[in-house]
Amino acid sequence: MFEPILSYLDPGTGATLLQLALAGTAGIAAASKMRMNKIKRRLNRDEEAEPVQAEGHVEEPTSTQ
Amino acid sequence: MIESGSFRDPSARVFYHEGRVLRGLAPDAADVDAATRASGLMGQLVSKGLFVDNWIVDDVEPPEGVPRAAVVESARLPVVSYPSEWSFAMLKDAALVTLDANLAALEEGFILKDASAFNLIFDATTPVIIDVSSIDPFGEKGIWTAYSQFCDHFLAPLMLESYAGVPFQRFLHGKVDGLPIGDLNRMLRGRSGIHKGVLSHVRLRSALERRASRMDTQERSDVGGAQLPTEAIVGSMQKIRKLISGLESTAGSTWADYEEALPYAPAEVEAKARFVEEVAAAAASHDVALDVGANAGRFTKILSNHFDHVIGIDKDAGAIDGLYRAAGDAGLDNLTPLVVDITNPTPSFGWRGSERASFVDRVKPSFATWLAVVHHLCLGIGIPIDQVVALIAESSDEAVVEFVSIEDPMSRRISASRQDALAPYSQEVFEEAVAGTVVSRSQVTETRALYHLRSL
Repeated sequence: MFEPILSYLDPGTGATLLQLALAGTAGIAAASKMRMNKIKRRLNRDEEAEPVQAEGHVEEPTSTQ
Repeated sequence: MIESGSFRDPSARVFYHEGRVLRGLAPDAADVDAATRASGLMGQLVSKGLFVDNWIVDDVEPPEGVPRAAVVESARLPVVSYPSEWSFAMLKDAALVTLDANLAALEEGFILKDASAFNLIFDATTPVIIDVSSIDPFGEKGIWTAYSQFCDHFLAPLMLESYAGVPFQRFLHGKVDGLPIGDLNRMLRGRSGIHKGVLSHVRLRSALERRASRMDTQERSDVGGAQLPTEAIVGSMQKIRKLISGLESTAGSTWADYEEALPYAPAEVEAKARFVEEVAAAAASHDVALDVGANAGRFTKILSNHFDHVIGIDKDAGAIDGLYRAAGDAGLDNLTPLVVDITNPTPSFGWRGSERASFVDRVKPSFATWLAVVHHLCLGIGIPIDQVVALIAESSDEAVVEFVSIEDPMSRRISASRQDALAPYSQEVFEEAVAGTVVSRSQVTETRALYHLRSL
């Protein structure tokens, strides 16, 4: 219906966390979503990091030969 | 003329044209505004008395630099006041109006995008939201963006006065952003910290702010994307509403102590009232009157019968709180009580020093009463008589001033602890200072006289 307008007032990180803390189960749900995002990001980071390690493993024996 | 205080929201700017209050809206804001009218929300907010009356106009061209997708006109209210000039009950009522407007908006899928106390002014004794462009679409999920601002502007000052017994006005004097919750957390030490709402809105909040300050950008961005369903936001607002409804001031009133120690004689009060009544009835202009040192508002109420609007000011927030409640109960729709110390009235402040106007620039009375004030200024604070008369002269064209001699019991009480020599204080010195402006004079008692001054 509306174009998203960037809010001119900063809600504040601490204030948002408190709203979640006071919102009962809805807050827990929102906080778990944030936690999941964080875990997903960590997994993605590990996945991205893996091929680099693999390359190193491949290169190592060639260099010793 | 563009309002200097309306630059923060780029989608709407306030300007004035021939005495009318107008807002130029950017295309996005105009769409939202149209939707709030179409949904019936705006009509509801106005009819409930939460928003000032406002309507779309097409006969005014906004000035250069003002958005022009739509122009909204608002009813003009006679007095613009700021939160530091409100008493406890006034700030509390303004907080409740802010919450009620949010709750009404959420029912229609909208929310107020900010919660600044400067968005409200008092229409006599009724707080109304004047920032009619502060509504945003909310949908079904989101976060109360203005929660933090609401706490700083309303909850923190109210908690300070209720839980610590400290009047909040001096903490808001010259402030555009309220009282930070972090400051309140440090102020509410010991037993004052066990009261309702402190653990969550102050202690836990401060702990979470510390935690947030250690978060990296990605984590902050995650928190920024958090959403709660409408019901959860409504539930939180209702809880805060209940919390605020239960807060009462514990600061007390210095005037109440005075009146108990030195009550006025009824005959003297009657004589004063008669003089004020007669002069007010014959005043050259009947637009705005100012009652300086209003106390419980005995004379402010008399003035309200003779002027379009009356502003009663006193530095005693407890006295103004009483007057606010009494005037509201009596349904006086032209009396605005404000907490203002005449020796240090609100200056202009905020961005570039001019975002908010000074009290002197906002309130331009044609008539003023200075009853039982001069001796407090001269003997209590040590201001020379000619300075006080200069202030009276520049405040209005016509005035009633009471002179209380140094032999009066109240004068003696005020100056009892003074050992140092004061500037000369006597009825002769006063009469010399006001010479040429005295219309009439009445000696009410041996130590008290009233003067009607004009075209000072």
